[in-house]
Amino acid sequence: MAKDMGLKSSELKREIFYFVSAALAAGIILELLWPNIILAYFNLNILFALWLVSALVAVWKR
Amino acid sequence: MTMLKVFWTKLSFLSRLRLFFGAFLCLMILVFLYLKVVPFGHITYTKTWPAGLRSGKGFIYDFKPAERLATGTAALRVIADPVYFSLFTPRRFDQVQVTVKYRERLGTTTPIIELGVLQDKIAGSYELRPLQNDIVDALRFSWPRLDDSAERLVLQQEREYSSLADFDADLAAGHLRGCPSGPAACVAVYDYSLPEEYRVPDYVRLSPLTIDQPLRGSHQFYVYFPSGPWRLKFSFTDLNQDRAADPVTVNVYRDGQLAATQAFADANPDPTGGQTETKDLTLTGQAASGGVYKVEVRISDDVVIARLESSSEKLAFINKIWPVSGAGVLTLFTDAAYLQATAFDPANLGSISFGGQAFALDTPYRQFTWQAGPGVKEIKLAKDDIVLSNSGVFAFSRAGLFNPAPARIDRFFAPGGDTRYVMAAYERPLLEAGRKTARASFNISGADRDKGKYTFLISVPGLDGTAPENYLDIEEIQVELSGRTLWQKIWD
Repeated sequence: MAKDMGLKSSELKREIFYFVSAALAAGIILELLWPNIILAYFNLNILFALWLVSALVAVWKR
Repeated sequence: MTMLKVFWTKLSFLSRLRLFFGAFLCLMILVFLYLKVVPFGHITYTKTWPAGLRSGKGFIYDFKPAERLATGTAALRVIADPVYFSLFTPRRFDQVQVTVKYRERLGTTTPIIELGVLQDKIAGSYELRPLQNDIVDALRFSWPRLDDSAERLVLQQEREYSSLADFDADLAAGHLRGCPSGPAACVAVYDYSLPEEYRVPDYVRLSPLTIDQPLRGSHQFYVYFPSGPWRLKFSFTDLNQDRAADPVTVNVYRDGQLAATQAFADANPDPTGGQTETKDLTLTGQAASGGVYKVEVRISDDVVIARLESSSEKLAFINKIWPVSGAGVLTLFTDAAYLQATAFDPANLGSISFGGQAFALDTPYRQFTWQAGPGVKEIKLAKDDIVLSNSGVFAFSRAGLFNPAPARIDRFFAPGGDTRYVMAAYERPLLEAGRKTARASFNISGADRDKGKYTFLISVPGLDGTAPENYLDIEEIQVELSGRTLWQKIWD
């Protein structure tokens, strides 16, 4: 579908990586400002693991 | 709308995707900020057992100590008393209502379940509220009920009153039917307070009192001052055994109202040398009429009341006394039918005489409970540095012992005797399919909140973990918090 819309698969992977990176950064900043604001609801380790996977997928070349 | 559509169709897929991701991220940040600010001032947090699938840490956690909790059970199983937990809140609140859903298998020796919130960290004082009291519940069905409203329960042993208004009028006047010695002598209360009507006849001359016996940590005491000037002088010794600040606060109450207060902060909040420091504090006042004053000394366990001078000898410590000196034999008096004692240093273990019987205090850090008959009893300690507690009062002389408070329905309470009326602010738990639901409300506007956390405790007095068949299984804790709204915070 992304190809149909004029977007390469590598670009989509990169965009997902950017989004997860921004979400992780926002989560960490909010936690630093107000401890437990995120951790009470959501484990940031899950987002970190997701960020790692998205990074690996983005750099992976067949 | 059309412009927005044109704008949207002109965007490339990449830009649309970025806009979508950006909007989603902003929305998530706004949701978390909303949950942080709680703009409408009300929020509810719940913890259930079994836990189920949950990603976050939650708001109710850190149940400890682990040795008082059983493992491998679907519910949170409490096997010994007390168990503490933390409630994280993103901001301060004024009120909390805690709903606990539980099943219990508790014996007749553990008829009470209470929930408490830490109000003062330095004094370590918890405000306790009832969840279940089997003694009151049994009396509710065996004694005639005079009042059974949401505010209070009034029971009478005999049908002395048929009208609640008559009872209230007599109580306010200080004489109830069948109570020749006054309400305090024949009313037993639970989570309920009565006005203190204790009086010493004017012709009785009260001498000044000096207590040289050092007392460690926070204490509360009643002191009766006749009309005229009164004076209390304290000498405190800061032991500086820990590296924390040790502020001192002394509050004096008359009829529940603050009559005098004095406080000083610790000038040496981070001591390193371990040298002791001495601080003196004097409170004075004028009593328009003779009456009971309640004095609250709020200090940490690192501070000792080295000397206490009072202009009246009628002085009795409430519920707890912790004499420390190492000076040897000490004699005290108490009015309660039981005594609890804990020694922290093995050197202070030994025998304690209570009501003429000798009891062995042979294990450190264990609270021993001994029972004796009714009336004033003598306590003889061969060594001090022992925490003594019960539901009554302690004094250093028989003449000084007095207790203006009515009997409290604790686990040692036996119906009958002098008790002719029961007054309680307590609603029994709802029972549904074997599961009980009980509620407790607290004012937490002044409660201790450390790093965003309030500390609570679940207490089942007498549950000591020695009988595995006795336990409390908690299945759900729900806290409903309420406080000021965002608009009140901005405009008030």
